[in-house]
Amino acid sequence: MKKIIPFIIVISLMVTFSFVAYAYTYSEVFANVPPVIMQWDKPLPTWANVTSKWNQPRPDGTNPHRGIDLSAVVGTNVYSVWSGWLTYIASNENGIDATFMIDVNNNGVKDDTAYYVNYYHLNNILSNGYYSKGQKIGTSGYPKAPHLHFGGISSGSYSGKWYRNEVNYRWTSNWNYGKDVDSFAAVTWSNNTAALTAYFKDSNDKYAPSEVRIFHRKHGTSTWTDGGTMTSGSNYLYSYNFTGKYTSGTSIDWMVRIKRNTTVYPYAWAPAKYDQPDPNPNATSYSYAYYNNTVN
Amino acid sequence: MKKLGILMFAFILIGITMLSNVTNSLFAKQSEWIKLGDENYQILFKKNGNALVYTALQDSDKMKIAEEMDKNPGSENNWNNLRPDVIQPPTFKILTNENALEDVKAMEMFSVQYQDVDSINEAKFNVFNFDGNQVISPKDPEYSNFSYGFINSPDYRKGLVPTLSGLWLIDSNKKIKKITSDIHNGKKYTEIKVDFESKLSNSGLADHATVWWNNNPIFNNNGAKIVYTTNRDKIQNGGNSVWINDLISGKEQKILSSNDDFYNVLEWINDEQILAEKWSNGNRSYLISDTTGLFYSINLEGVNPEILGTYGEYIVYLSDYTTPNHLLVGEIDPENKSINIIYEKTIDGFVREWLDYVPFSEDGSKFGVLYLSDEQGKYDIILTDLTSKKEILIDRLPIEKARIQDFYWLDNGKLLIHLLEYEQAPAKVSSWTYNLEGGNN
Repeated sequence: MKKIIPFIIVISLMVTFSFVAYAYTYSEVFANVPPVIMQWDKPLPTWANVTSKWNQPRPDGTNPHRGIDLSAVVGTNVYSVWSGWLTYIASNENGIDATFMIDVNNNGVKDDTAYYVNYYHLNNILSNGYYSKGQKIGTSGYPKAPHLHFGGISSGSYSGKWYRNEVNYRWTSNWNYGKDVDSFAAVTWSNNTAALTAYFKDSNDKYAPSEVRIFHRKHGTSTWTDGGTMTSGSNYLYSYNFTGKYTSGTSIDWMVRIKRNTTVYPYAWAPAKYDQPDPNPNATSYSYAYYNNTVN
Repeated sequence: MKKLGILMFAFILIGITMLSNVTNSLFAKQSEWIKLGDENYQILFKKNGNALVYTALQDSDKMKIAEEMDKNPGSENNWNNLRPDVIQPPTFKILTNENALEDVKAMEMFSVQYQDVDSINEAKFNVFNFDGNQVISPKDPEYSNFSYGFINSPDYRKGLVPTLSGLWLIDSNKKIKKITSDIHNGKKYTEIKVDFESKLSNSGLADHATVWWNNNPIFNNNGAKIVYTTNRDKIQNGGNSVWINDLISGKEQKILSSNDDFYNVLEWINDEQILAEKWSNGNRSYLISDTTGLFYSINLEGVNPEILGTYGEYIVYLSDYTTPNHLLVGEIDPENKSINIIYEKTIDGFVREWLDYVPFSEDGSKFGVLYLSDEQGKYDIILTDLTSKKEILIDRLPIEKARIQDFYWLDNGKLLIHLLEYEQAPAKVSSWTYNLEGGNN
């Protein structure tokens, strides 16, 4: 009996520390996302299907895709998702492009940290000026493949960085209610091992990334360590074991960079990044979102 | 002494008169606006000045959802098309003619199943007793399975559930059935979609190969016919077409079609005629068609006219949506294919529209527009009596740091107005009624 008790204790401790838990908090998914994005109204009369998602690899157009595409019959009314200022940008063979500067605090004064919503391929646009949330700003177009291109963006021109539109995926079954959006899923931490499922899914089947690389640091420090490529397993599972990398009890931050074979910004990140930051996390002051766990 | 007495009496009389004027002025202002509450009451049904309303989400509710997902990352899996349990379920109330809000509960709940392409969905509904009738609405008006919305019939006793692959009708016996054909020219939805994807794949646009079997369906005024647009027959030639579904005969019939052109039906102007937009090479025209497809274009004054709404054969529109300050109201003249103008006005601001905007009052005797009156986001409402041409300007709010969000006619003399109060973040929407007869007319 005396010999059995320590054995039972050891087994109990192993069971205690081996449970699988979600490794992230949802706020990290939205790190660096502008305020109020979760409170946006819909840009079309209904929560339309996302036919092409943010950061999606694709054979034509911007690659990966900047912004999202929402299916809409030509002439469908388009609405402001928040209050702010509408400005015409330009017209081209695909329609009219417009930008909308968000009035974050709704006070009618341009005193906010500016960010924008861009609407492309419009059929027509109403007058420049101030609009409240939910007001008509134009109609959708692109006759040969009707849709609205839409998204949050850091500046009101074509050169800004595009943000993800989480709220637009939530209401449709497309893309598995948004779970197939950011190229990764099921991030876990178990027995000092960080793991996630990473794949790309465009309009065809899933395919594996060309590289899945992990970065980490001791919590509270600023320099990221390149942990190298993660170990790949079956069903697009990738893992990295931190045992021996840090002393027991150390709180660490980690994040994953997932690469695909495209020429234009080929990276997706876990946690998701809302603009498209430098692939070297030590090369910029961009405040990368990360996961945080404790090494045993 | 006598003179002093007369003088005192005169002063007292003047004082009473002044006090009366002030009091009357105050009461007049108070009787214009009546606060219903710090809730975003949205109308489900209305008739004869009464309305059944529900509490719609505020921005603070959406923040709670985001915070809950922050604490429990897996929780959103349970919320797909279901209202999160961290926020209150919607409440339903009757808004009476006397501006009272009375709690009301559904007398019955039922569920139906319908198919959307390959998936079988279940939808739940409430049945209410409203104005002596049993009327139906989705159990949760904001969290429902309906990707393309739910459309009540004019008497609220029936409803339409549009899906990508067909149109479903819930009848007054709470039964659901598909009312559109599954086949077009021998092909099913999925086959037509493959054709569309194939056509667009050469230009890398296959992702946008959406087939709308029935888009934007609208009941006519007696609920016997439905109009919608579709592109199931336009895959090769581009554009879409307008169809009528007769609920009595069960027949579905195309009435308008033009290669590469897109139609958008606005309203039924009577039980047999629709008003529609036609987009051709980015240019819009308006037309009226009967249910056999006999149509004519109507000429509207202005450079870029935009119709705001109709009441029967009366139309209110802007002469130029790029400078939306000139309003015209007219009656359709079928013989001359034009509008006989009965009223026009240039307002001091820019008109704004929103999703459920209805400019005309219940009997069509009045119309209202919301317009931006300054660059700092101040909105005013101007209401016009088309008989007397008398105007009412709503430009003073009962509270500060707020703006008018939208308005809805409850009857011919009262509006439901939503104010966006932005003094604190997140902003909140409060609901008010505005009585035209109590104001400074």
